[in-house]
Amino acid sequence: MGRGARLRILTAALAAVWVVLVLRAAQLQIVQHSYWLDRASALRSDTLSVPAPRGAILSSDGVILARSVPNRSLGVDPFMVRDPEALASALDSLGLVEPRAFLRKLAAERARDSHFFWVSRQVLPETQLESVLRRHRGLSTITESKRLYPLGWSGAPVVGMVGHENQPIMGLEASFDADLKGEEGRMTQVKSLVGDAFPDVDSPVLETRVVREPRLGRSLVSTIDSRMQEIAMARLQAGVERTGARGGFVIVTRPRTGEILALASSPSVDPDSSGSWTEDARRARAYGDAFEPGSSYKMVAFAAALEAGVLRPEQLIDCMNGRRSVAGGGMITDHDPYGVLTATEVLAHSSNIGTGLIAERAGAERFYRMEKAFGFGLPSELQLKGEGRGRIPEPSAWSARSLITQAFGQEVSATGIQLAMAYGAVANGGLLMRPLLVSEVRENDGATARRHEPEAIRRVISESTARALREMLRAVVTDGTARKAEIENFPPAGKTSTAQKYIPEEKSYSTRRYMAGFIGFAPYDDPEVLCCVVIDEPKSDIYGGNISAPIFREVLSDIQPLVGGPLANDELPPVKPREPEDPQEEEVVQPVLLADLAGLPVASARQRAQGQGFEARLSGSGTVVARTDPAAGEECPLGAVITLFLADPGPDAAEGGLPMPDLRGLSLRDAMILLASIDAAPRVDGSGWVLSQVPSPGDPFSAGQPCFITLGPDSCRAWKEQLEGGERAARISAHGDLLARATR
Amino acid sequence: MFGVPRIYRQRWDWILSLAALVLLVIGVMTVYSATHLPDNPRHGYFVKHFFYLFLGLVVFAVCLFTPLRLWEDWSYAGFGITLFFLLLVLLMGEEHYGAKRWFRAGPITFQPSEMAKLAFAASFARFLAGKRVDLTQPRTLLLTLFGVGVPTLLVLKEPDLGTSGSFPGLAVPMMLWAGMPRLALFALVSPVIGLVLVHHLILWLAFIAIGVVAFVKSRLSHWVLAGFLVFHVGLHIAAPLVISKLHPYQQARIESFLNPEADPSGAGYQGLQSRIALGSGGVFGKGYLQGSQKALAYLPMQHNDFIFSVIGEEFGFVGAALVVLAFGTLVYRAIEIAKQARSPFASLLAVGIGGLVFYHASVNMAMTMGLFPVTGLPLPFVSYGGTFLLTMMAALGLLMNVAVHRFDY
Repeated sequence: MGRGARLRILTAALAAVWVVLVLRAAQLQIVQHSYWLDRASALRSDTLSVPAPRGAILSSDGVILARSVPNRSLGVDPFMVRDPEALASALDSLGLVEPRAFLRKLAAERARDSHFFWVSRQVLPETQLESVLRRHRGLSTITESKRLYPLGWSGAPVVGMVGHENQPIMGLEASFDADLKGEEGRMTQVKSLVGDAFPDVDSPVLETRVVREPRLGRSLVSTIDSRMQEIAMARLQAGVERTGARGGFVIVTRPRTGEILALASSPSVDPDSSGSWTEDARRARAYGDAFEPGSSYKMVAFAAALEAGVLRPEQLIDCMNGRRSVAGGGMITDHDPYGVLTATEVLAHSSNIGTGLIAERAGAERFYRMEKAFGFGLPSELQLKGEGRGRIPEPSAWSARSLITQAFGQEVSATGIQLAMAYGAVANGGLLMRPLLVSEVRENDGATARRHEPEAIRRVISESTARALREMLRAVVTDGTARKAEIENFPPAGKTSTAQKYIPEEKSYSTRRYMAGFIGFAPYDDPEVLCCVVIDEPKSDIYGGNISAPIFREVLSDIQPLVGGPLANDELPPVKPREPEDPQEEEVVQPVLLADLAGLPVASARQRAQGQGFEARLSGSGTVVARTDPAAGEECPLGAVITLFLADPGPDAAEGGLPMPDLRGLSLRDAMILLASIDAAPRVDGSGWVLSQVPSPGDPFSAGQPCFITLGPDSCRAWKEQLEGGERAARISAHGDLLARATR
Repeated sequence: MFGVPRIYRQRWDWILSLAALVLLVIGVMTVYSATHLPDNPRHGYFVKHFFYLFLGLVVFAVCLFTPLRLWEDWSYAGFGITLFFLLLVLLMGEEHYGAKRWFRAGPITFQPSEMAKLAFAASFARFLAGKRVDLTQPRTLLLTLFGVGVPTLLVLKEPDLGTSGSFPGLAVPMMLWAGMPRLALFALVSPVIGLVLVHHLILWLAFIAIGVVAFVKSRLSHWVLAGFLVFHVGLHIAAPLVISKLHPYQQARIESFLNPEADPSGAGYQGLQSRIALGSGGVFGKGYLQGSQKALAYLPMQHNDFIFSVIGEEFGFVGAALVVLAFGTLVYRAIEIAKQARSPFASLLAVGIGGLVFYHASVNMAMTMGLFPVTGLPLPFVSYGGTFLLTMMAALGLLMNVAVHRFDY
């Protein structure tokens, strides 16, 4: 092979390879150019959803029952951290970690080969994380919405709760999910990765564009009164524990309007701890479960007979000395042998035989129509999902004794809400009201989206029948089975029930398991409030008069100051606006009567005091307020400092230091006063209003511990707006009609 | 003038120096662009690149003015020393990215494999230029294979697959130039071709058929043909075993080359990002400093092994073709210089240097464009500095030295 040939081979190989490379470049850059261009832009941009914060749920007295705050979680990959000391001190400067503990944790997680752990699950929204994220590798954040339930366990039976993914579990959260949840927005984001040329630089500038703004969730104004709810829950829980019962419920309504003021249920759940969400605790005892009502159902037979004009209250009925054999076989008995009683006495002593005779007087058709008219066997149209409907059999299916047994509340079933609404008709003069739980749905800007007004479904009985029934029910308390329900100055009327539970498996009534109930209203001549108490399987006693009537009395005594009468109007003083940008408001100093805060949990006591326009100062340790200085009912100028003396409610409540007060939204001055009152060491960053704090509100806190507060003028707009929306809503409902009239 | 012998001006290869200059200028510009971010001006790499460039000019001058005779005389000794260093680096080198390739002396890192390339080229040229060397002799062939094999295997052990390939990469054209029979060369290169075609059965059969025809026509002993066949069938069967013996990251690279979209965020990531950057550049590119893939740091090793992607993204097909043209010119000049050089050593050295540049440039660009598995090879004269830039400047100096003295014996 000559030189020339070798030269040709070399040159040809060179040329061939070069031509292939140029052709390949042409293929990529000219032929496939648009394809790769698409790939490039797809790679760099990403579409993300913008979460819409869930709307708030407010009580009628202006307390927030549920609200969402954005919550960021910060995690770290120990193997990606280059400079642990620098990272620890950077996180320390944000108040997120204690540096030495963090370094120990980092080393420990590394040692067990873990590639991830949470630095903090609750990074407050305004923490200046970005610079740290940019400077250090290995960090990652997730922003989630955190749902807060200030009433906690007490509010859960009606408010419900959401799960970890904000999915509604029960209560108002589930029933009004469509309004509350809002609609996610969308944004596109230009992503970035780190090239090998810049090992120590993270994320070149990101570009974010919101394609569709999120629609924030609507908020609800419920008819629930937070104070009554807490009272009902506390009294119910105490009653259930006292009687060794399986559970129970308390419903408080305003019979004139059908508004539900409290809906308590036991056992209840802790909305913040999903471990407590057992099936039993999530049962909607007050409106989902239908049960045989027993003697409280007797009212229906009396109403039917009175309305038909076949019975007068003083009419004499022969109760056959407690034994009556009925057609179709069998015996009906009374718990005491009664002779001849007046109709009023029949009800007062809850005679089954007498009631059966009165039902027979009215006749099956009238009785059946009256059952239906009171709403039994039909949905009550409660604004909660999962309402039970109960059952009354069709007359064609009745046996010879059905009329009599139904008259004293067997063979039929009803829910607590149905009973409350039926008795509400007796209380309000004969109108069956639609139960009202949510009076208003508001857009995020505070505008009304929907309003739900009180609504009568139908007239059930005449005013005179209603009045006669109220008098007769009053006798139950004064002379009959419910003497333990009596309240001085607030005379109630009502009916006990002691219902044997029907055991489907045995097809018979249990002789050991009872539902003990009392349903009544007060004052009996012009009822302001109705209360239905049902205790499931009490052990200490079985009679509604002994078990439930006392609970009824306790609940009504406690809430009496809150309903009707001149006292109630003073209880809802105009709320002092807290924004200092409205100085004129601040100068108007009107004396206000301090509400009774004793017995309330610290958080709600403080909220109440602040709502009244006072500064609250804590003294002592404990989780509930023992007494206040000045005392309840005293006149105090707006802005006065109220000292709350704390105590522990029971042996199981104490758990280390004070709960951290909620400082967010306060001015620096106010925050410092509060912090000084609990002996905190404030560490302040920024100026303006308090945007975030560490520890978080409600976290345990001991004196001398530092508290980091971040102030700012106007960042995190959506979050603040929601907060303001909630507060504004609170003020509007506290001002109530006054404000409505003023704006009209 | 300036004490430079007149011969340097008379016989200076202007085309060669122009091609090299184009590449160096593109390199400087692109290293700046690749390490430049709008909100994060970092000039560390750029400044260091200039430092290496200056050092490279010194090295270039030294190689340019050192008499070739000296290179020839000292080549064996130099090669011996580099082999010693190659052994030493395996024992006590500094490890980066899981490979032992570097020595460190203070701030300066040093890759002995770079030095080995030129030392090997010089000593191999001296060996092939020897009077009694006859590459048609099987004994000589075996000795040659041994000489190429030792540095190749040592570098392969580091591991540095790309650099180890540069020894056969420059040896093969030198051997062809030294008069090795085509058939022997074919036999020598055939294992590589056999391996490349291991996944394409039809192409592999065609290749074997060509080999059989060539051997039959050569009228060599049938035993040689049989040996050829047995070797290739064995290799074909053993290749999957060989691949399974490779490092996992090397396997992943081969797998991602054969199936680019299989794991776009993993092994296929670099290659895919590189093609996206190139392809999105289009005909005229996105403009200098405007490469978005580069700016958002998607491109890996963008100032180094994948600098060709940055050129393609910012200057488009025009820029990419210009780079290919510059390399083509440079290597073509190397062949021309080899043709004209009267000293066999100088002529062979020129071919070796051409082969070295050709190997690096073609493998790097092919890898960047997805024609070759990803191997860590920089682009000569263009990629961010370091020992490799110095090696290339030394090679350029030697080549120019040969060009200037091409009529000397």
